[in-house]
Amino acid sequence: MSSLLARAVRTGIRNPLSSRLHQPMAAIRFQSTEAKAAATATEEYDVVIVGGGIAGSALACALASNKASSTLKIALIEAFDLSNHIKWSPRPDQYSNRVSSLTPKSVAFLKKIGVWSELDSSRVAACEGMQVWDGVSGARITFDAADVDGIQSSFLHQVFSGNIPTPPGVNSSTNQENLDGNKEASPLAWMTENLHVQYGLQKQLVGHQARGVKLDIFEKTKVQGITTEQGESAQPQGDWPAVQLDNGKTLVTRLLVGADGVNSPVRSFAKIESLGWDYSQFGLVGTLQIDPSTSTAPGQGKGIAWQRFLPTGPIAMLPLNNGYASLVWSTTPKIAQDLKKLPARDFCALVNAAFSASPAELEYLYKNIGPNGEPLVDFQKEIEWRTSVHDQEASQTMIRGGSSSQGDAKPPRVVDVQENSRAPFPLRMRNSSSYVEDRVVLVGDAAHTVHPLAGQGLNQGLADVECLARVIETSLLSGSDIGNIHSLTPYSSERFLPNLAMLGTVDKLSKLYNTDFGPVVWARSLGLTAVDKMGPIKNEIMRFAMGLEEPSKRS
Amino acid sequence: MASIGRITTRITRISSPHHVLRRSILQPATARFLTTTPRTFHSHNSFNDTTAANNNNNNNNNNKEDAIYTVNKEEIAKFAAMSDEWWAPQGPFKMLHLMNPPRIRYIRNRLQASGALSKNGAFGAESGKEEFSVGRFPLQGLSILDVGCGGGLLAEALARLGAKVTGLDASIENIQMARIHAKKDPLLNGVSAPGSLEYRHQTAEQLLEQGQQFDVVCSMEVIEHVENPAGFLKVLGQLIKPEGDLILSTISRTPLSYFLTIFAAEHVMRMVPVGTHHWSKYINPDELHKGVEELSKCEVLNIQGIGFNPLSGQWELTRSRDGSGSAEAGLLGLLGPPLAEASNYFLAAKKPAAATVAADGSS
Ligand SMILES: Cc1cc2nc3c(=O)[nH]c(=O)nc-3n(C[C@H](O)[C@H](O)[C@H](O)COP(=O)(O)OP(=O)(O)OC[C@H]3O[C@@H](n4cnc5c(N)ncnc54)[C@H](O)[C@@H]3O)c2cc1C
Repeated sequence: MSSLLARAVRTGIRNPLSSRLHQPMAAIRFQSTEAKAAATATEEYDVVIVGGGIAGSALACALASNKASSTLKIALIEAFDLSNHIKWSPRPDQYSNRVSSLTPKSVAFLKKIGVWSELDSSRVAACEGMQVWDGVSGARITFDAADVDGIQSSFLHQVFSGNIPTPPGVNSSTNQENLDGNKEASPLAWMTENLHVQYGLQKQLVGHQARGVKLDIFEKTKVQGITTEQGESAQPQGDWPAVQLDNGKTLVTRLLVGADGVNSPVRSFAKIESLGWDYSQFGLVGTLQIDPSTSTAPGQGKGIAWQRFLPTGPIAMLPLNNGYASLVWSTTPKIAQDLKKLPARDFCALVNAAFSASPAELEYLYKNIGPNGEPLVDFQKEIEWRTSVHDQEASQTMIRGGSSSQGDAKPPRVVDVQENSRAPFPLRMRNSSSYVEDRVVLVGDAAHTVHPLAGQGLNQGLADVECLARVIETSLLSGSDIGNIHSLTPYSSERFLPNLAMLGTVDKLSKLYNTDFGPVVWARSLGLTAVDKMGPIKNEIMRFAMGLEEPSKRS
Repeated sequence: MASIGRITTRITRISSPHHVLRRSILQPATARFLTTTPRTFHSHNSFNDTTAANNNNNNNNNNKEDAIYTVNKEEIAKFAAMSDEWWAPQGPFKMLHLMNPPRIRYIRNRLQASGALSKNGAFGAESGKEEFSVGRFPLQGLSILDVGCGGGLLAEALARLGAKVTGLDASIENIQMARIHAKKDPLLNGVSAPGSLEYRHQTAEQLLEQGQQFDVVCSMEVIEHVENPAGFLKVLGQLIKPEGDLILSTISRTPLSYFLTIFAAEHVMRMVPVGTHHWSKYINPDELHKGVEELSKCEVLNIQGIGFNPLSGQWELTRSRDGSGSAEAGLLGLLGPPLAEASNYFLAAKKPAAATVAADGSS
């Protein structure tokens, strides 16, 4: 096996601290290895899913929960421990630092595959509103769940909808129910820990195994190489990918699914190019404790997501239950490392400053973090003083944020950060030049990776999985070979464009906001303020971001 | 058992449309056939039927085509390469590949409508209403004959859906390609799944002489290529069990079909090889309807068109005469007859119960 592959595999594993930036996306060659195949035990599968992250596990679950595709022989391979997720029993006052916002569309899908009902509703927070504003100009846009018009078919709908008919028996209606099953206005999104979703997924998977679905889970097992045997000694299934595991097994498969994350070994095997770049940014995540009474938003800001664009990147605080919130702070690699090391008290002061102080003030504060993460000034005092000055000036310097009824509501104060919850992740943008090859398909981050500023990465992955499971079912019902590229093409034509559109939009937003250059700031302020005033457009943006735009159903 | 040596004297030479092209490619290889040591070629598990023995016997006669089962290594490689080309997703037969899912949909829908599926107990009681059951092997229990199976596109799909499929082709190249390809899919080996697949290098009459009959006989885009369509329809009718189903597809003889299948597909777009079609042999729906009733002695139940929608890049069924089938149709579903059937179309018919056949037999 090539050592390049070994590296691809290593770097494919979650490695938040890796400072290695964009690896050149040279195609990694996987030669045919006839010698190797002989010694190992080979087993045949219909579907081998590499990567037991949320995308890969959700695909296994979707296939296993559908009548036709549950007859398939499926393998799920994950380098980490998956059975551990089932034992997950968090303390009510502890939250994992990896939290994702799930759109109503993702939630509807999780319901369909039986995962949502496994979740503990006390650990799912509904996001009812969003406050997004520009740190340089102060221009603001507010999104409210009540604003979303659920019925109208729209322009974006036409643009982004695929042309694949929903097969009978697949209920893809957008589910407007909340977690308790009450019909009411759907929240914009639901916040929950990735681990929580994984818990639900793994429970379902074990359940499917118990009822006889031929699903083999290889956990703590790495994919070491992928080959196709060609030429003289070819097996009858010569064109099927053979996946070599580090436990000595080789799995030969009709369809190979790459759900193996941003450095996807499967993508390298298929020689699919991945285009894109690394933002010179890290996303620092962390679990915060907040004092809700300090928020000036209605209902003490319960269920509101706060996001402020700073020249170094956006900072976001996502609502959790019981006075907790999840932080995603995109900033420069240096600042991210410094922030991670700061003592909790000073860190919290800086987070509060990041939601209120001017970019110049923040610059000053960042510079006062010592080489070992020690504060060189008293952050708390500095900030209190600056905030009081700032508040007085605010009304004069800010470009007002339109007609938002909340005015410029203030986020709650951060009072603590959970121990060991701070971790920086490199941020990047990637899109594979194609999502399918003969017998190979990519889903989730393996296919595309997006800046987390819009909280869409995982949602896109779940939309991929839902589509792929549907496409596989359709091919099964027409007797097609599910690994054949013609069988897979409908997946790629349905998902490629919407994903690209999302990547492009999010990338432009991130670039647009990564500056304090005057005219750009002025223009984007006008933009935010204008969008905030234009109901229909705002409605479109929200519907799209909520995943409410679905492929048109042909009847 | 019929001697394959008489093959050329038969009125119906059934083979896939791509037979002509393939043959010319194969000539040099065929010539090498007898100069190299024969080797047994274990192609398929259903292979060691009586025809195999028969062909070994015929190995020393003059018809080179008969030496099907004793081919040398080079030949195997050659057939494998041809098979690869035939099956290549983006290869010259791409349009045919894309046509397969709607063909299967049509067959499933018609068999469902005619009661063939429930008769065989393949569907549960609850699925009676559904046009499309979600079962993985809905054709389980049905014997299906695919006349003019070509490289095996349709036959494989039917077998994957659980049917016991016999693929027939008069072209040895096609049969070899089909066998090689079927080996690649363990779902078709008759062991790991309910479906099975057997390919025979035979004519329909030869099969008939062996007294075989099937629950379903299909022949897709073949009749426009045979020399004696009337004789062909008669034989097909006799190959169907009483109360069995006949499914045909062919091309109408219209200016539109000339434009689409010959001018555009062959000459302009080069989507299919030039010389694939002969417009004068195309048969209009009403002619086929009459032929099937009079010669195949089957009652025609449905005629429905199919067209390629360049916008979706897919073949789509058009609205059928009885108005059915539009449920899954796309844009082309808006077309009604006669325009809908102006090019490629399907026909589904049912053979009456045994007593009725006997009564009508004299007509
Ligand atoms: C800071 C941050 C915040 C985010 N916030 C949000 C949000 O709010 N909402 C949202 O929707 N998205 C969010 N995302 C994005 C989201 O986390 C990802 O899109 C999502 O987790 C990707 O899931 P995945 O299953 O595709 O890939 P991964 O989670 O990367 O899973 C890939 C799996 O493959 C395994 N693997 C890789 N190589 C091998 C191998 N050789 N052998 C065996 N196993 C292998 C890995 O161990 C891993 O488990 C955020 C991302 C970041 C960085």
